[in-house]
Amino acid sequence: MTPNDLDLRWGLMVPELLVLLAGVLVLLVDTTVKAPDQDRRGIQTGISTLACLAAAGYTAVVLGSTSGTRTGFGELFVVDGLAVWFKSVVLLSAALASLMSERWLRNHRLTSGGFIALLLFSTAGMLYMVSAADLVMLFLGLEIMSIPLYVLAASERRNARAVEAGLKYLVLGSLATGFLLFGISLLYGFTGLMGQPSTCIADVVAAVLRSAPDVPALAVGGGILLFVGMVFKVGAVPFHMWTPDVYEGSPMSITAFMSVAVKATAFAAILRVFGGSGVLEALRLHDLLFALCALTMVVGNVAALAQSSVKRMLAWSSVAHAGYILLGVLAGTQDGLAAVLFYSLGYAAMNIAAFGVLVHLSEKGHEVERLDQLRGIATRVPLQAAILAVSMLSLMGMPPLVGFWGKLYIFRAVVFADFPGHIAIAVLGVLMSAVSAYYYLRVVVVSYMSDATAPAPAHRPSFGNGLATATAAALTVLIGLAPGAFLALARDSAESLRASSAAVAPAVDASTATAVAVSPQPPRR
Amino acid sequence: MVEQHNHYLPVLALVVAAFGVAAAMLGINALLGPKRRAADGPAVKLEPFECGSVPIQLDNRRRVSVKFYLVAILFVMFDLEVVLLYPWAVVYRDLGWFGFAELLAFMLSVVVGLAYAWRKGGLEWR
Repeated sequence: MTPNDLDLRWGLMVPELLVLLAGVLVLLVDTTVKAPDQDRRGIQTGISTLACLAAAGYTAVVLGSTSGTRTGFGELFVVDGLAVWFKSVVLLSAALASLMSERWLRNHRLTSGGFIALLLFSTAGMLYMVSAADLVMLFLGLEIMSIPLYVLAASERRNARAVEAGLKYLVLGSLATGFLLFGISLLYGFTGLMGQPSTCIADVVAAVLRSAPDVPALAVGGGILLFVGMVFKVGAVPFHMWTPDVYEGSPMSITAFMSVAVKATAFAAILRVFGGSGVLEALRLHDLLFALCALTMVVGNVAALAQSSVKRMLAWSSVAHAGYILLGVLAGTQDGLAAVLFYSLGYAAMNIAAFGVLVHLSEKGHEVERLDQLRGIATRVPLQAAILAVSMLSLMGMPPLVGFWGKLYIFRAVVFADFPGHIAIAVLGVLMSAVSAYYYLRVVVVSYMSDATAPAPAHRPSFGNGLATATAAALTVLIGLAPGAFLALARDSAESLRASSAAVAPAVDASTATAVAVSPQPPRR
Repeated sequence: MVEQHNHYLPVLALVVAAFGVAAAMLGINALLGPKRRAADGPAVKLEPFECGSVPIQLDNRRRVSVKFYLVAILFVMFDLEVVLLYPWAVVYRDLGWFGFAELLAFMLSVVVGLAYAWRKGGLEWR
């Protein structure tokens, strides 16, 4: 094998390399630069933010300028509209999370080297997972993403709850990874059964579609296990058990990062494998996903009602939002997929804004968690209270904000989709988002309509966190004011998914006409 | 299809033999061994069975210093590096300068990790 066979198109991998190099640089700064902790934290969060923004810029401008699917590195790595969109979302959240982290690290008197480097390595894993053209590559990306996060969740290592969060995430995450690997191995066995063993996602999808409607149990089992492994990262019921505890114990900026970027990455992977037309039906996952969506929306919203901790409430609300986004996957139409992309971006903006305000209100050594700690913040910190109110209203789905458009596009896609029970599940979704109004509005009511009990935070505000919060809030409003442009972009990006599965489609018709499992050499792509 | 299955006959034989031996041991024991209820018999019957030693000792667990853990992790890092060097050494002529550069990049990243651990005091026995 020579370099030419490997097809090393380094231009496609620039964002990943940038983020990885920034991570190494942060580690080197930690060991070589002699400076007070304060300055070093500033330098490191600065490096991280700039690298993520540069990578996001490269992704959106250079990689996003040419449409169409480009593969490289021996068909392991793919850059298409889907990858460009989700990479931009992940890199944007990583940049904002690093900005927010500076404040948290200062509050807890922790050095930032390992923390920021792990954040960057995790981001690199997400980028690889989003660009994976092969199931093994997908697994590698998932692990590079997850292992730093297990550590980050427990970064406040003298706090029992943080350690619990890290351990729980590690144990349950490893279990989910086991499911995923088992699924991959079964699918590999299945493609071998079909004539040409391969873990290339396009080959697996093509083999599944070729053998539809009588897909062997081997492939159905593999598909279900793979799906479970991914849905775990999304935090959908019944694979959500870790979510509240892990989100509660982790540092605020990491909670924001996990709830936004990990979810986006997992949705990118779900779309990459199961997003092609007819794949969910062929693998008999459609009914399963239907039940999963309904359960996730109901359990997430009802459990969020009962929380007295804001952080825990936001954790359950992220479960509920995962349910809404999964509805778009369930719809499976072009509109549904575009809505998934749009919602991932919108959810990133509004959720980071909410967590940014909580970081701002946190004091030295402890975080704002209980709802009554938010009493009367409108008089103490009017701007932050306003941003919190905007993000809560957006999460609830108030019309001019991004959350409303996200839900509208999702529900519209489901209503216009064509599967049994589509109206019923859309109605359930709308009902559940009405339920969510109670716990989102309660935050607004507490912060505006009750008297302050605690004094204003005494420490000086953090520039980084302020910038991150303001950016996220501005995005929440701006995307809400011009949703059409972003939806058009999302639709173009989702187009690549259908284009690649359409390339498979002729092969489907040709081979389903004849016998199914006997074709010795299935066409690659 | 039939010839294909024949390859797996030894596996089936092994499975049958494994289950057979286990079932025979338990079965013969149940058939020929004395039967006494635990309540009537000697107290030994209620103790966990462990061959040749007293099952419950004062304290079987000892605490191990966390320092060993750090050293072990650093060892694993270089152990894995060597594992990856072996296959490269086998084909390094075919890969040429490309393979050399790849390996160099990989080792450089490991060296950065070592430098970080070193400067952070990971190699000191404290």
